Amino acid sequence: MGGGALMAAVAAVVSMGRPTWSMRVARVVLVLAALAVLGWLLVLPLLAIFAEAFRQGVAFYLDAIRQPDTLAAVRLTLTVAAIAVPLNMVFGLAAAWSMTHFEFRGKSLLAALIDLPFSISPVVAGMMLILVYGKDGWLGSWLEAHNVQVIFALPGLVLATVLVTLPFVARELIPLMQAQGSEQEEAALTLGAGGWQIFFRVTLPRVRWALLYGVLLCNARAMGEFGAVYVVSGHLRGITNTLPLQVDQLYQENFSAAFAVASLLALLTVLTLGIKRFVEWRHGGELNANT
Amino acid sequence: MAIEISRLRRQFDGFIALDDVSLTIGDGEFVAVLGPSGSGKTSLLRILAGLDQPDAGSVLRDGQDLLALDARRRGVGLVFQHYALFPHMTVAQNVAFGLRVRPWRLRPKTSAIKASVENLLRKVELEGFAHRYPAQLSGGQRQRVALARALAIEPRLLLLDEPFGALDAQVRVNLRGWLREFHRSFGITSLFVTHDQDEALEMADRVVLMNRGRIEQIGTPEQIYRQPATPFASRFIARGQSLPGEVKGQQLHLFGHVWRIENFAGNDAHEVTVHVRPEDIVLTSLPGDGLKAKLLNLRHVAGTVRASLLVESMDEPIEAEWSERDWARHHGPADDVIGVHFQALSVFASDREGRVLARATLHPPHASFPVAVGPWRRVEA
Amino acid sequence: MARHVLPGFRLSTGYTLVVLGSCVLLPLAALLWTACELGPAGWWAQIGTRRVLAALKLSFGAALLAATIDALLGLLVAWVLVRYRFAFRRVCDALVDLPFALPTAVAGISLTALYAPNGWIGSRLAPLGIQVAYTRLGVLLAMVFVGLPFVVRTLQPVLESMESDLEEAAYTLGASSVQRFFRVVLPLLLPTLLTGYALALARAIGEYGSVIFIAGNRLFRTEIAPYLIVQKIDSQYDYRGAAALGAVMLGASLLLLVAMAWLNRWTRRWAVVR
Repeated sequence: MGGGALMAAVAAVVSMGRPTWSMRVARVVLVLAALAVLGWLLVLPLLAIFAEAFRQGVAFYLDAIRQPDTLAAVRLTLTVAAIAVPLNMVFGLAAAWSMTHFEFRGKSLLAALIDLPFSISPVVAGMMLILVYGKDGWLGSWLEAHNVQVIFALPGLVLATVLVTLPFVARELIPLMQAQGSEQEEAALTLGAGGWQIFFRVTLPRVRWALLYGVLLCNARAMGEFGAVYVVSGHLRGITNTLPLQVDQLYQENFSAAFAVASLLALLTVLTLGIKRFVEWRHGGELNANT
Repeated sequence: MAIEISRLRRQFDGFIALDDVSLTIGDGEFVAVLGPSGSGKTSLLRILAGLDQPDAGSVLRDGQDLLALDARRRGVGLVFQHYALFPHMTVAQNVAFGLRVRPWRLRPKTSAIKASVENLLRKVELEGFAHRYPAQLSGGQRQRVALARALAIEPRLLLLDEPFGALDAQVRVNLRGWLREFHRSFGITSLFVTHDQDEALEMADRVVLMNRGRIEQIGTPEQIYRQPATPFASRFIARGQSLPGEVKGQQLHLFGHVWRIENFAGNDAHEVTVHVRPEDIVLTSLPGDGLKAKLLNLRHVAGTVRASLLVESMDEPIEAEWSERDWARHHGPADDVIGVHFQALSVFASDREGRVLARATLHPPHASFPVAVGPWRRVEA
Repeated sequence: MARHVLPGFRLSTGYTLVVLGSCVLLPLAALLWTACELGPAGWWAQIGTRRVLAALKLSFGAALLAATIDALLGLLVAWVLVRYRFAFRRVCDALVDLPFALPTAVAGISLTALYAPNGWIGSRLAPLGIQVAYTRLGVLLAMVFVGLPFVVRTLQPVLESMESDLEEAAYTLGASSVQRFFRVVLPLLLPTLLTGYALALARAIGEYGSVIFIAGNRLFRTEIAPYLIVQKIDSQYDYRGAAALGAVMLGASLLLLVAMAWLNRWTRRWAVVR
């Protein structure tokens, strides 16, 4: 884009009153530029996954995803998500309840800690877990004495997944519940409701769509997490390989098979984004604090 | 220098915001556009400011077509309802904005801009606030910054959108007087939009009353109060309340009484409306005299007594307002039925579209108080 | 506790602290402890090698550049999505989240397949003498990919809530459209844009899955810092070296968090209470 075109584009985006012909042209240019960015950066990689997955035909594709190792990876991924996502859901609700209904010392520190996993590299997160729960870690000898294996086993995968996805639910709920305030809960209290009754009858119905939204994103990330899980899993084929790790190993050996397995994850992503959009469309007002 | 607005029309999908609006604003005049929300007053303001274009009609300033001018070059100052101060600029930067964005040939020197900003801030009484940010000011201060900013471009027309809409009641009343004085000393042609009757009547030289995209009446506050042109004007400005009256020939029939109306051309009207203002319902000096009114409730509000009354056969109560002195002088001991007269009545005859065909204001024949609109004569049933 | 009117303070705060403690605080303490044990000299012995310094330089350099590109592209995309109505706008809006939701390893192999010398794009760039896959350009590309949604999603709500009042006010005061953009709109968006930039930067620095495939991990050339950490743990069992490097990256994360908190205060100073 040349200087003149840029100026025209800028002129178009902040235009008022009667749009002139040149402004309309500039608008079209801007929209096309944005579409080009999205198409090149986002759509092409998505298409490439499916194209590569089916390059050697449908039979090969089905065969690739029916390999015992891959099925084991699917099972493990589902197991990890089934444990980690509910844990995070409860964590998100507890953290939001605590953060929005009470005043206490260290609250802002708590908020910062909840957000922290977002900005830590997943690889560093995995490494930190090894330093605590690994063989030579702080709790290593204690865990060994009690015959509990965390690292290179299911608990480690769950821990890593929980750590990386920790903020997802809490971050959806806290701003919403903050905006809603405590008035309705207090009203329920004066009407004689108990704590759990308040939670299930007043709070939960008000935040259910935001909760679903957070759980959805949390689940997508949990099933797709690579870096943190890679570090703690030891990637033993058929035993501690989750789907993304399986993709990684297959990629070194059988290109198309790797993409076949990757397409499963891509499908999950598309599905997640679809449901997410649907929730935003139907229940947008209950998601956002300021609408 | 006058602004001539003629036959403006503006339509948004299916909704007519301005319907054939014509208005002339004189040089240095302070005009209020008054109306309920959705009456089209903001549309008019936005068209004058150049933020919107009408579908039809023209706006001339000294014969020059204002609509052909881009808002940037129109020389119209606009004070937004929520002030629209730039939050990332200090008060001084906000005020200087209009001068700094001029093409360099027309841009004053930095020192000149500084001087004129200082001058304006002094005029709006905010000298010490030049380096504050808008978020650090009170509502009334923000409003004055917005005013100074609009005046900085030396506009030939100043527009104010609900100038006090976002302020507390107390600040609002204080600022009213201040703004009126401010206008007097600046003498700039100004037009402000408001939905608050008190604000319009108290501040403006002339009031333009709007309803549903049309102008109902233009006049001085006194004119509109004394002689409302339409039932809407009567209700909105003078708190007129409907009475169940009928016009037959040259006679007004009301509660079984008859009043002669001279030269009232409303005989084939679709609808006749009779209005009375709360302050025109006066107490009779003798109990049992006048119209019977059942007292539903009574409120004492700062020197006045407000009452809800069921007059004669009416089943909807109407409001009356008296001074404490009159009330103390005239009410019977613990009576809940009192006697009242109407001191003035407004009568409107309108056609199917609500256009007023004829109107009459019935005043007492002489000014001594209290005197009923009379002579009343009981009609035998 | 008289101040806590509603029930459940102990339960909710307690659970929050237990999870945070076991998953975040304890591991964080372990990392800092291990890094501190090394002492400055030991730490530098781990960090100061040519290989580690090259990786850090690439990680931070490419991430800074990628976040800058994301800021520009993200501003364009967010603006178009908020201000204009066009066909497939909703689809485009949903697409923005793709790098968030797509597993990083999947994104990584997909980008590699596209830009490899025999891939759809790579084969077209090869005749021009441009190689993306297995070069630093590839690292940059992957980082741009993962960072884009952070800028767009941060800007969108602010753009949506930005009062048209302000632009109109500037207009009636005589500002041209270029002046309105550069004097009013852009300064107002700046803190938000920088916040999005910081988020994209944090993600790009720490990103592993999307980058390692397209990077090719060539010694001194295209190794990124997270890759070295994995290498140290996986094949060398060098936890102290990994911790030393991890501490550097953690420091960068914390620094960015502080910067974002500061940016947040900056925006709030402008907030006009109505």
